[in-house]
Amino acid sequence: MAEAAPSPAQAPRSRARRREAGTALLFLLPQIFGLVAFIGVPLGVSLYYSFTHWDLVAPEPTWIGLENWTHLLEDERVPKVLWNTIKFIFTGTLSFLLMSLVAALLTYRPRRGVAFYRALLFLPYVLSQIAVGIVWRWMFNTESGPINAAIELFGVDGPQWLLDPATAMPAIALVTTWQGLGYGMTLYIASLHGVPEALPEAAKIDGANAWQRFRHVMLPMISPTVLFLVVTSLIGALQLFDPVVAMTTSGGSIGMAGGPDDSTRTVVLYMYNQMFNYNERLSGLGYAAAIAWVLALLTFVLTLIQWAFSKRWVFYAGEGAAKKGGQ
Amino acid sequence: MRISRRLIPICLTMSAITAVTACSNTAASSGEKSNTLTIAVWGVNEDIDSIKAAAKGFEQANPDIKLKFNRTDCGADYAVCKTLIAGRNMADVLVTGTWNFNQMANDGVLADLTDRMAADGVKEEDFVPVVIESDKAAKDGRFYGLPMGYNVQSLFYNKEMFAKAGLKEPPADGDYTYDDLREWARKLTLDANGNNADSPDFDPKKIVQWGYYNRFAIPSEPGYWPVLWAYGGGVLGGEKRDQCDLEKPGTAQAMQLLQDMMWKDHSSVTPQMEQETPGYLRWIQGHVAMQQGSHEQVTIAAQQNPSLKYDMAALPKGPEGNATMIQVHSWAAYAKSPNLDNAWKFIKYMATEGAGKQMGLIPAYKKVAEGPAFLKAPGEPEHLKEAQLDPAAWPLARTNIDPQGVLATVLGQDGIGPALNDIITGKKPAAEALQGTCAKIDKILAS
Repeated sequence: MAEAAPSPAQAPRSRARRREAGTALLFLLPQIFGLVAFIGVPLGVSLYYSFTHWDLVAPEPTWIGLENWTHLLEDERVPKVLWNTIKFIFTGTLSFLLMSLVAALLTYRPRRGVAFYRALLFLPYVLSQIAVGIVWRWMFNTESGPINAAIELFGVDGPQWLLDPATAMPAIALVTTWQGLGYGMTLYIASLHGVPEALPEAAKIDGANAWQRFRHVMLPMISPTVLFLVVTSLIGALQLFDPVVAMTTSGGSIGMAGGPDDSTRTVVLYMYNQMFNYNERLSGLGYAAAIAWVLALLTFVLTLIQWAFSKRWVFYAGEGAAKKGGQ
Repeated sequence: MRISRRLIPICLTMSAITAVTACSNTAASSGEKSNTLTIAVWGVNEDIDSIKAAAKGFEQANPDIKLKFNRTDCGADYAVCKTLIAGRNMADVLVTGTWNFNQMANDGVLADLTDRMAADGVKEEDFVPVVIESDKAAKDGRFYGLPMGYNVQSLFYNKEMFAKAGLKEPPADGDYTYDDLREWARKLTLDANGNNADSPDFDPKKIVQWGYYNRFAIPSEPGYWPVLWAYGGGVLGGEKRDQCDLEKPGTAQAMQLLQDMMWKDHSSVTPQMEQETPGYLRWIQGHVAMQQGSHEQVTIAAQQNPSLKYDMAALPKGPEGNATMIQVHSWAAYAKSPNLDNAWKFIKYMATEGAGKQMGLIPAYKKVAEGPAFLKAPGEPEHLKEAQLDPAAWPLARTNIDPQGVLATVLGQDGIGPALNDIITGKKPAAEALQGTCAKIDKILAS
């Protein structure tokens, strides 16, 4: 069937729409330009580099096909640094999520002086990670650090902390938790304030105890914030670098960081080592880019998994109402 | 619509500015010949000021050449040079060190200066032999740099502490042994009650004065390598530093000595104490009696504790004789600099006529090093010549050159990092910790 010709009144309207769309596009251009220039292009270029060998000194990268990628599968250090990163996720990320929730539950109700405690807990978050790492390095000092001095008051020798492979990563996790606590707490508090007072009160009237009110009322209501923090903290954990460098570098070279006994060398630190410290056959930008892509893919997959599972435990308050309204 | 018409030229202009500024650069890699010579310098403020002061003579003699000093870690850290090269922002002239000189030369970063030296009559014999030798690339034996100066590891000691302990000062020429050093260190280590480390009442938890500090506590190669060499051991041996010496008996003996001084005698600064305050600062502050260090300590002492009464002696003998480490800083030109002629003029001046007083180093240009301007300079310790100049002629005076470019991996977590950690923390005896390390090193060398 032939389309009806636009009426004389419709023609200027479609012209106006096109004009409007053009203006909108123009306003969007800076954002699109930014996305393409600062995300799209670097992603594409880094993918290209992962198929090349380049020490940055040669005028141009050399195309080597899949060699970096096949070497990644053979590189004995890759499983080790992946395992170290996973260790950090299980210690640092979990403790961050739990401790900041505890801090939020303790401080979210308006009480006298609570603002002071919130500010105090938030303060480490604004400090430089390197500065924090250096200070904690001293705190963990087994001979003169205050932590072991406090432990010794109980007649026990403290652990070797950063000098022992068993305790080095947990020590770093403790520091990152301490530093990130205020950020997580702030988001949890904002979320807790969004829970209508009537819900826990109704549960209380129905005979729910404090744990049941938290588990079945508060937690589901703040679950979108929990999901956000789980996703972002996991991404942060996979990118762990600064605290490791600040707390384990010896001899002034990042090439020597990641000890003791390779127990704190993370994927990003290894990527840096291959980029700048090592002089092996494939060391350079190409191999580092391949490692970066593995990390990016791992992050993407883990985020997707979390997203898929989130449907089972994340509750969006507006969703039910919307469904109801639609029925 | 009016808005969009105005926006289009603004957007285009902004894009053009962004593109132009993103691609522009000001240094040598821009590829254009210029009368401005860019010089990459690194170090603390005093180091950079000393270079600028030394370059004044060049500026007066060459008013047509403008010097531009770029403060960057390029030279101290090769990774920084690489990023500058990739960004086409590399300087015309840089200061390299023995630890990365060969890797830069191998990669084609440094210009070959051999023909220019011959043309201008700059002779090898004018410099301290072991120092100028390190400016020859291992790959072809040609010169890719000229020495700015060098550091020699010596023993720095606190004269007052020796006098108080009733000890004779160490012989300046190094005619004493590591056993003597260990004994003195125990006598010079004091707890809060004034007991020394030989006393049965000594409390190692309340030490107020340490006898000795060696950078083994970090660990950093200028600290422990001379001790290993004196005992007939080492990390990498052979002319091309491509052999593993870690399982030689001398290596374990030397490391055991350093471990025992930390954990058995309690006379040497431990890694934990080092983390809190570096041992060299403790020596400067008057809390350590002896330290192994280089001429830089003279500058630091003058700045931070001018009243410190100290002197220096050459390092002691081990079973193989006296050994020391020399670290050379060299002036070099970027191979792709469009200003190579001016770069060479500058390098020649700084390494010869303008030599001395650069970065607190000992000048390698003999005329300056052996003249009164250096040896009799105010603030220099009495035994400067015996402790810092003469050891450069020892058979076991070696540089930390790294012709294979493997040192970072060898010393890191894939190499001897874990073994060193076990030794410095006293977890394992040196021989046990070092067992099997050569298999790891051989793998690194092969890769």
